[in-house]
Formats: sequence, structure tokens, C-alpha cells
Amino acid sequence: MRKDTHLGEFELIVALALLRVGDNAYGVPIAREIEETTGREAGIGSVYAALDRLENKGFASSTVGEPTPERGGRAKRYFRLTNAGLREVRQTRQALVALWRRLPELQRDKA
Amino acid sequence: MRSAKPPVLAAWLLEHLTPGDKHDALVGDLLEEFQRRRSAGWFWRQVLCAIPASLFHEIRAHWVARSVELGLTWVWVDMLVFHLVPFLRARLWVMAFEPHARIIWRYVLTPFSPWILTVLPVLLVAYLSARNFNFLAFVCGIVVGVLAIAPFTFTLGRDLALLVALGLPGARIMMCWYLALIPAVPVVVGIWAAQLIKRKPGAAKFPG
Repeated sequence: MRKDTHLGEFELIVALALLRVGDNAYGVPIAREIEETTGREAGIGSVYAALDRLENKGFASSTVGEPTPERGGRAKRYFRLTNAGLREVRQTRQALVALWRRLPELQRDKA
Repeated sequence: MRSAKPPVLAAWLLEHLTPGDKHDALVGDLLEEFQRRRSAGWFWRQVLCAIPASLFHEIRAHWVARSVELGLTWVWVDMLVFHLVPFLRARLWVMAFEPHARIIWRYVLTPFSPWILTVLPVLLVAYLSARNFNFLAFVCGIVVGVLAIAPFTFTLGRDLALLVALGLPGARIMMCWYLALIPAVPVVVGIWAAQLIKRKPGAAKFPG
């Protein structure tokens, strides 16, 4: 596996939140989605740091929206997952599911 | 939607210590969320979390440039504190037999060291937040601050030196505080000037 082409734990969470939010995905709704789904408070700064990493790896892309008054005249930055990002999320899911299946302790709990 | 302003200090720190391409979007998101439903404590937590995250990312993304800047700063500190100042002191020591020259050396040049040590951390912050920091306004503020306190500094330094020479209790401690605190005045004026005159005149301010 090449260096820096895999998804870290928080990057995977952000990528999944990005997919769940859809077209209107910028910092606030992504952080809110993570909070509501996982119960963990996600710092918006941490979300942006993860989004930056995703962009650097080619897994996400962003576009700048229009500035609004309630944001002090600052524009929103909308993010979307690229095809490479989507592919990486699928591969990570397959790897994680395979790992979960090979845990005998968890199999016993299930039984 | 609330119309309250976010905590001033937190907003200032956020504005100046979060470098990177996503700076405006991050600041806008925090403002939007704060105005919608969040507390001042939440805003502070977010700012304290965002600053190290974005600084770490900035250093990681541009590690060559940041390493060069930190290296140059280190060399500068080393040169000024450990080479230039002792050199100037040695030169003045030649004139130290004259009482007036001794006073100049002890109570005018000696404060030079704390000046350097006080200004340098601010310049380091300026490096890291170069996107918004108006360096020219900062330097102008420093110069104005120095000119404003120069007469006061000289007379107070002379009076304190006299008290130290007379052996008055506490005079040395007062002199230490004087040497430590006086340089902070122009630095504060410099920061204030840099904050007042943004590099980008069109940059939006915090609402409210």
C-alpha cells in the first residue's frame, strides 16, 4: 500500500458524513451530521483539517459559494467526494467488514 | 438567529492564528454556528481546537517553507542576542571610563536585549499568520510606540538607576520589572496597528 493513500479513522468518518449530507456539504452540516450520528462532538477546525487531507489525497474536491451576511461576509466552501474517494471508502468498508468477520470473540457474542 | 458578537479575544486569535486556504470558510462556519445556537464557551473550545489543527496542517503542508522561516528566526535570535549585543557592549565598554557612557551602556543599551526577546515571538506569530498580518503597520506601530515612551523611558531609567545606586530596598526588583515591561508597550501598539489596518482592505470584519 502506498503512503498517504488510505483513509484514517476520522477521515473515514468525515467522508461518510460528506456522503450523507449530499450537495449542501460544508463545514457546519458535516460537523453536525457527525455529532448526531456518532454522538461525538466534532470540532469544525478538525473537520476542516480532515477535509484538507482528503483533498490533498485526491479523495475530495471543493468549490467556493457566495458570501453571506450571517457569516461576516465570508463564503461557504462546499465539498464533495471524488470518484477516487468513493472507491477508497468502498475498499475501506470491505476491509473493515472482513476484519470484523474474522473475530471469533465477536462471533461468540453474536451466538 | 442571535445578534451577539463572539468573544473578542477568541475571534482575534481565530482571525490571526489560523493560516491556510480554508481560513475564510472556517471562520465563516464558526460565526454561522455561533450565531445560530452556540455559547461563548463552545466558540472558545472550537477556536482552541482549530488553531493547533490548522497550524499543524499548515506546517505539514508547507514544511520546507516553515522550516526555513523557523531556522532563519533561530539564526536571527542567535546573532542578535549572542553576537551583536555583546559586540556592542564590548565597544561601549571602551568608553565606560566616562561616567555618561557608563550610564548609556547600562541603562540604555541593556534594555535592547528584552526588546529583541519580546519582539521576536510576535514576529514568529506574524510569520505563521502572514496571510492577515500587516507587517508594515506592525513596524510603524513599534516605531510610534518607541517614540512615545522614549522620553519617559529615559527619565524613569535614570531615576531607577539612581535608586539602585543608593541601595534602596526593592529598587533592583523595580528595575527588573521596568526592563521587562517597558518593551511590551511598543509591541502592544504594533499589534494594535496591525490589527487596525488589515493587509486586505476589503476583508470583512466580524458582524455585530
